[in-house]
Amino acid sequence: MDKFEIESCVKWIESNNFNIVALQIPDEDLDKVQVLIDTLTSSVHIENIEFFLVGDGCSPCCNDLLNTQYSQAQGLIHFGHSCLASSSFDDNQQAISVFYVFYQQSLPEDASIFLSTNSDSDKSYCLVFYDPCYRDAIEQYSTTATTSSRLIFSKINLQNPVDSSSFSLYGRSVQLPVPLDPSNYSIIFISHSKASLHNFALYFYAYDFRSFPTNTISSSKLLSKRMYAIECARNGSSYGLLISSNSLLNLPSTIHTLLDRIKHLFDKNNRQYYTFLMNTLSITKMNNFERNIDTYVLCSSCSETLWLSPEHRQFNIPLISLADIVQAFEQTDENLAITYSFDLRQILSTMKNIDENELINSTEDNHALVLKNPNSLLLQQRDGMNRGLDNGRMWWGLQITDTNTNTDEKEINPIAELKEGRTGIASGYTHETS
Amino acid sequence: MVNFTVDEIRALMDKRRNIRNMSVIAHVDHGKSTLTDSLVCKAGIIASQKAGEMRFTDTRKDEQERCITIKSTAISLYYELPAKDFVFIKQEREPDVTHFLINLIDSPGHVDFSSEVTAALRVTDGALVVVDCVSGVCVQTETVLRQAIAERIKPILFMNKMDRALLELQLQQEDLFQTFQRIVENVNVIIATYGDDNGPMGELQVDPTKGTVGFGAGLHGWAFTLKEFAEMYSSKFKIEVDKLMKRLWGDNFFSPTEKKWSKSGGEGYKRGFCQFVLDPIFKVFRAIMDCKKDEYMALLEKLNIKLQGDDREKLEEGGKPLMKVVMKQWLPAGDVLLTMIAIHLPSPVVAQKYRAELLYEGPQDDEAFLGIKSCDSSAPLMMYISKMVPTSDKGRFYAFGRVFSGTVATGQKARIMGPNYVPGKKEDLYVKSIQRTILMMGRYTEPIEDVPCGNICGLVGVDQYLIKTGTITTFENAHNLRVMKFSVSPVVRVAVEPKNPADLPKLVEGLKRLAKSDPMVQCIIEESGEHIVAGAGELHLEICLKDLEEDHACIPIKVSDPVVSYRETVSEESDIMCLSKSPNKHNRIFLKARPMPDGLAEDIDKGEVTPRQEFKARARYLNEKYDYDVNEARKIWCFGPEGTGPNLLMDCTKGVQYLNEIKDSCIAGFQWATKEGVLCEENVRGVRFDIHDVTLHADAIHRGGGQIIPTARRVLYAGMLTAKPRLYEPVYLCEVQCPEVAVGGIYGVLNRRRGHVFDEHQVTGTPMFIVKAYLPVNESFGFTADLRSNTGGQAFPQCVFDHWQVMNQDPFDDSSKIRQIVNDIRKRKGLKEGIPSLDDFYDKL
Ligand SMILES: Nc1nc2c(ncn2[C@@H]2O[C@H](COP(=O)(O)OP(=O)(O)OP(=O)(O)O)[C@@H](O)[C@H]2O)c(=O)[nH]1
Ligand SMILES: [Mg+2]
Repeated sequence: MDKFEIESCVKWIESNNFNIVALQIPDEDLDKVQVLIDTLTSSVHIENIEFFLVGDGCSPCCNDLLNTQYSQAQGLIHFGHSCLASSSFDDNQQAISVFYVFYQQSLPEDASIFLSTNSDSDKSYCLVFYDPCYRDAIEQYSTTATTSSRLIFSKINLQNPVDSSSFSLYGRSVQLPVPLDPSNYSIIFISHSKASLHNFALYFYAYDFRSFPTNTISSSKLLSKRMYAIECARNGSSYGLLISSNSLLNLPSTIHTLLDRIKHLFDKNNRQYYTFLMNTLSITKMNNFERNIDTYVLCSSCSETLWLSPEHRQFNIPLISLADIVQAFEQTDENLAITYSFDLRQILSTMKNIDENELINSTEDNHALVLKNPNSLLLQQRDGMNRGLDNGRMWWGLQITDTNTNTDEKEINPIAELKEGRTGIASGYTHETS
Repeated sequence: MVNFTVDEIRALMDKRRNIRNMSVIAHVDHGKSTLTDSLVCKAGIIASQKAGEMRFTDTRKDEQERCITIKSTAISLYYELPAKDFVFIKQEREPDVTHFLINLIDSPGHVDFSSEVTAALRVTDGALVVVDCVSGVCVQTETVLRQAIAERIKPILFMNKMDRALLELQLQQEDLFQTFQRIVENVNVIIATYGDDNGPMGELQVDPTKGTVGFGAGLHGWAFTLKEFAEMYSSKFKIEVDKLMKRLWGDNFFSPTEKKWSKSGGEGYKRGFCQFVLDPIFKVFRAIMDCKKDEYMALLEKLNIKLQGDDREKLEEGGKPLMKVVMKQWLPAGDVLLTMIAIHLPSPVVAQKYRAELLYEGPQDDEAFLGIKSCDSSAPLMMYISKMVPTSDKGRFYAFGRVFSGTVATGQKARIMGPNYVPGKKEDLYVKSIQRTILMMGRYTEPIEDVPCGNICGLVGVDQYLIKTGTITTFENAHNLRVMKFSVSPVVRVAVEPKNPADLPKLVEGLKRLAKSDPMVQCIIEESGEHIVAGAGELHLEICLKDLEEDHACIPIKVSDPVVSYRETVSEESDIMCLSKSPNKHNRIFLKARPMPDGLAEDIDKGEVTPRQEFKARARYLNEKYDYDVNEARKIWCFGPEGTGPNLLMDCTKGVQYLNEIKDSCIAGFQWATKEGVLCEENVRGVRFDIHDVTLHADAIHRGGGQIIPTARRVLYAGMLTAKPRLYEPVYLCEVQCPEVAVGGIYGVLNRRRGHVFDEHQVTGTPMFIVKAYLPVNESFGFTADLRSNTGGQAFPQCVFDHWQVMNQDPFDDSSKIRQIVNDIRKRKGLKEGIPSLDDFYDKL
């Protein structure tokens, strides 16, 4: 029960004087929920305190703000590993505050050995990143042990906006004495979650990168996969921007700004796009738009989402990340190294600002410049042409299949005259005709 | 000393009837590039002494080092036809213009590069087919000739390396005639097989008596047709040249004593060809090679050959150097060949009349078509880009092609349409200005203001908008010029990765450039992140990878072992009716798979049966040839993968409601499932899928794509799993040429590699043998080297993809070889181990 940090939870609830609190607990601890709630209820000195269990609406590393909001809780306590994607300073309207309990652990053995010997790299500095469950261990380590000055420890960055002098990635921030460059730094990552390890390995693919517990991870494999996605991004002609409601609650202003920029990028490159807001993503839903969309772009606040993990197998429509789009359309100089991350805040910070003049200047050309990218590689996917995308169509959904009503009539028919249709669930409707 | 200026060439470009666009095609090593030198030297671009040694059109370093042509190279030549020869031109010519513009493309002969030949043929109207008279007609001779005729390119023939026949083989005159005669016959058999003398191109057969066959030795720079000899004798015999030419070939014998011609020969009679053509040549050869100075001095006197300058010194020595200069002076290859080309090959005006219908995809009466057909330089521009030529500016290319209609000019605004362009849509279409038009002169380029139709040229600034090929036009409603069909396919593949992972973006950029620079190579990024380069053969891949590393990506790369791609298929009809339900359980599809009848998949490959065909005509064809039920054959929903592949989805249902609404979703599932088959996600080939029944939810929202696409895919997979799935492996047709002693060694090597010899014969009149075999591509890696080491370097193979061979083993048998292959592929692709089970796809009622 130690890992639940009940004391701090109680303190947090009491200091905020919340009377409705949502709890998000990893699936493997659901059996302890009753005990947990009982303990909390008895320890908190607030009358009529109510606890709600949330977490159904998103992956366990994200904050389930959607359900927290439904339950009208003022606060959320998130237990277990977090992708650290949400930040309270992202948006002013956000009312729900979040308290994290990361399940603190001691460092893996090989990691502590490495930190104390720290002898293997010729780079002047070594950046140490870690998953949040090692926060306390690292803190203890960096204050007590006599560490080499080579080692620079990152901080788990939850509440405060990062000041511009520090480098921030996936919710960790670090002060850099010299510019970030493979010749200056080697990178250490102490991992608990495989997904965060992948993210860091990918971002630092050009660096001397080591992870603990020791793991044979090939960053070039990870990057190769992303190169495929970037090609998909270049190749597409009609995109579906996928946003989950929960992401939008976690990083509202970041996502809104990013979407604006991306849409601008699409306009500039004369690509068609649709925006989809879904509570939960599913291939079935996405396949319903098969005729209109040839590439889905996931705008997820979660940087560890399964949809973008290297293990995820694409279905018949490629699903790529926002970063892929940015790489495909903003990166023009091939000699510039790619920096690749799924961290939306990071992506936003590296994107070029919208230059309104540019858009105006290029409008004339815009109409001439058409959909397909000329340099497209022969990808193992059908392109718009073969899929027979229905680009002319502006909407898709319930179709009026009645061939008798010709278009003129439809226009005359006011909406009010439409008859009531069927209702109910699929297994049996009211008003069912045949 | 170049003997013409760009202005002169530009002026000639308008004289369309005096233009000849031609390719030099042949089997590997038959001497195309060497022969081309004689022509290039005639135009003064290279010094005459160097001709034959320089191989001017082999512009790449590796081409020079390996002595093999890899890329085709174009060059424009300027030739003044002697006035006496005008009468021989049977087609229209420009009045009062004595000069001819000859745009020539030297092509590679190795099968691995035959896509370069295809690209060259597309932009030319005539072909000089070179045959090494010692080796005779070889596989590649046939392949390139077949392609030429299919593209409506008129062939003329040149017998090369005659010096070897004389010096090495020491053939007697009559034997040499027989050899020539046989080659002419062989060539004509091929022409007759693929072409028709009564077709739109008119007479196609080559015939020495008409002057469409040349003889000589490119290396030594001499050549002749019967016309040259007939001209020498015509005054003596008082017979007109064209009549005399007939006597100088075939069964026409002359008796010098009786001074009479005879058809049957007999005592004292000698064949006209031997007596009047070969005999003088033999005499000159013998006298000079045997260094009999008196004799050859007399001969030179008689033939009126006067050597100039340095060449006079060679008179003393005799031997080969002298023979070269004498022959070159006597029968100069450049003049003879250029004359032959000017006389017998069609001008663009003539050729486009009959080529237009093959070239243009659009209606046969629109402005573009009429412009092409009449070769009208004031009609809308229609230009076909057949390939990209690298420039010195890294990563940029000249778009090389032929103007078929109108005029292309520097700065002109034009529509650039890629192969996926569909009229009326915006996909694969750009409207851009042509930055510059240029003349391609082998290793040099010259800027030129504009280029009218009927000519070949390069464009700057178009490369960014086209992948490899495309159509450039100024006509708003223009359709595409037809894409080229290659005779080889990229069946050998390797995975590449950068040695340093940080170079990955450079690798991807390099792969794009590579894809552009070669008509055939495929560069693929797999979803797994693997980067694949696929080529026609080992040599092709080797060159591509070298280019990738040195020129395109400029980074060190790692290359995997080569692998081949397989095809998945079925061998029987599904033994049960397969059913899959949609995720919401409200929709059901019932389906069976079965193999296509033999030949149908090939018919689809060749375009005999296509999705674009009129469906009734297609149904009739399928019914007559393959016994398909006419009603079913009319209900082909689609071809796949990619909408054109060799698999069919057929609607065999009866009276199903809403069926049409799910058609698109089924097609999407079908494209997906045929692209990534059930066994190991290789393409599917030769499978017909019959949808037997469908039950659908009454409400459209419950039968959308999301429900139907995955269901269609699952039921297609179930169909394949229940129809005895098999793999196809690619097989090469392999032709090995060698002397008799080496034949045994060849059999040994082939046997070890699952090869199957089906033909072995001696090339008559020569000591060479030809062994033909089928060899699985998978067994072909290192074959060339293996063969050489087992035959003392005497055997030389040519392998070209021939067909897909079904591997008749059960993939469900764990010990079978085919299962091993499936496992290996799945592992390479990072798929779950083992073939997916039927339960994954088949639902119980
Ligand atoms: N004896 C003799 N050798 C010749 C003659 N013409 C070419 N060769 C030799 O044949 C070899 C091949 O000549 P190329 O001109 O490179 O042949 P190619 O047809 O261009 O070859 P690819 O382009 O690689 O298909 C060279 O070694 C030439 O020197 C000839 O007339 N006589
Ligand atoms: Mg050559």
